Amino acid sequence: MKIMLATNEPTLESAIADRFARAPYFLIYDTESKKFESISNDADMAHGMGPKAVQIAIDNGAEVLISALPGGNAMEALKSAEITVYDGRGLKASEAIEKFENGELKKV
Amino acid sequence: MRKIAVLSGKGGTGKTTVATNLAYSLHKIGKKVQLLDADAEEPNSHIFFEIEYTQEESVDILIPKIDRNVCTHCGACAKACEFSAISVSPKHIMVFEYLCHGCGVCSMVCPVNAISEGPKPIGKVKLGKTKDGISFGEGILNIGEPSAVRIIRQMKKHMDENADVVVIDSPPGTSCPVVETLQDMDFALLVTEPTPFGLHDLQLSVNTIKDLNIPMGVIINRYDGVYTEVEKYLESENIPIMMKIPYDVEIAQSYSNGRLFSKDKDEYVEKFIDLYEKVEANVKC
Repeated sequence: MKIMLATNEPTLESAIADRFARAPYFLIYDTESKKFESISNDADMAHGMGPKAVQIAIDNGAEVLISALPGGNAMEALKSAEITVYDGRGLKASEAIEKFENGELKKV
Repeated sequence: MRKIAVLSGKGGTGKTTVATNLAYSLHKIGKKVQLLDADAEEPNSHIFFEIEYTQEESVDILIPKIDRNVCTHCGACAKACEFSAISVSPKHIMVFEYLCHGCGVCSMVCPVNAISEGPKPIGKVKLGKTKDGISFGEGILNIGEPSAVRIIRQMKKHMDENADVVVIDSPPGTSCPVVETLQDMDFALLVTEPTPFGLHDLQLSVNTIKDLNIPMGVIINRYDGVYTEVEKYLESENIPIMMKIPYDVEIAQSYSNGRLFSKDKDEYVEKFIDLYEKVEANVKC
């Protein structure tokens, strides 16, 4: 299964970013291979960042998102795409993945 | 027909004050005037007049309507949309109406013709006359809509061909609605105030208008002679100062009571006519 994490840096040691759609990086983590790739979030639009970020999750086959709380448009798109969102605030990406795998993360 | 846009980079410098008093003064000396309020997010020129509205029309954009039985979820529309107004997942597709700018590219790129377009109102244009007989129009953007550009475009289609002068009260700033307001204008009348903030935003406006290649001049409002950087800047740029409106308690009182100060202080009719003549002298022949 693939997980998308919205982070400040392109590493697993990075903190989960304070914002979802305007996070500097998205990590796509594969729970089977334990490998990840990072995507730089270069878009900077006044509106529409939420759906754009969700589209990145969809296009990369993510079934789970770990991030700060997404905005209204993003939540609608996430629901429609059947991507489950977990609250990763205050955690490093690696900690968030571990907690998720142990069933300790809170669903948004 | 002479088309004058009244604008400013900074909000609250006196665009509406200038536009309304200029329109009133021109009308007073017998010119056929039309005043259009393009500040569609907060149109307030009407407060200075009693308007008898005679016409109202809806401004619609075309937004995508998805035929979910036909859609193959290929995602071509989501990729093509510049504003992320469509989200496509393997099972679902959704449209964010507030993000849609109505360009129609989604329906053009859809390989299976699953997208048609249908109207959605984003605001309206209201037309009428002031009690004095000045032709009047205003654009109104619905709350929550992102862009007034189409409202302004549709309102400008109602420019009166028979008017001697059309005065347009522009939105503040230098973004798309302002550029739309400035299209096809003969003269850009910038209003600023003698403060560092006024100067900063004036410079933004000047650069925008230079790009659009429209002749311009500046009115310094609430002028008290203390902060002179605005004048120095205009001199260095070779941009004419068209008028200085003094920092005057009576003008402020007229404004605060929703009255035109050129109506309360008759000598200003003449000053606004002088302003108009300066505009005429500066318009490209």
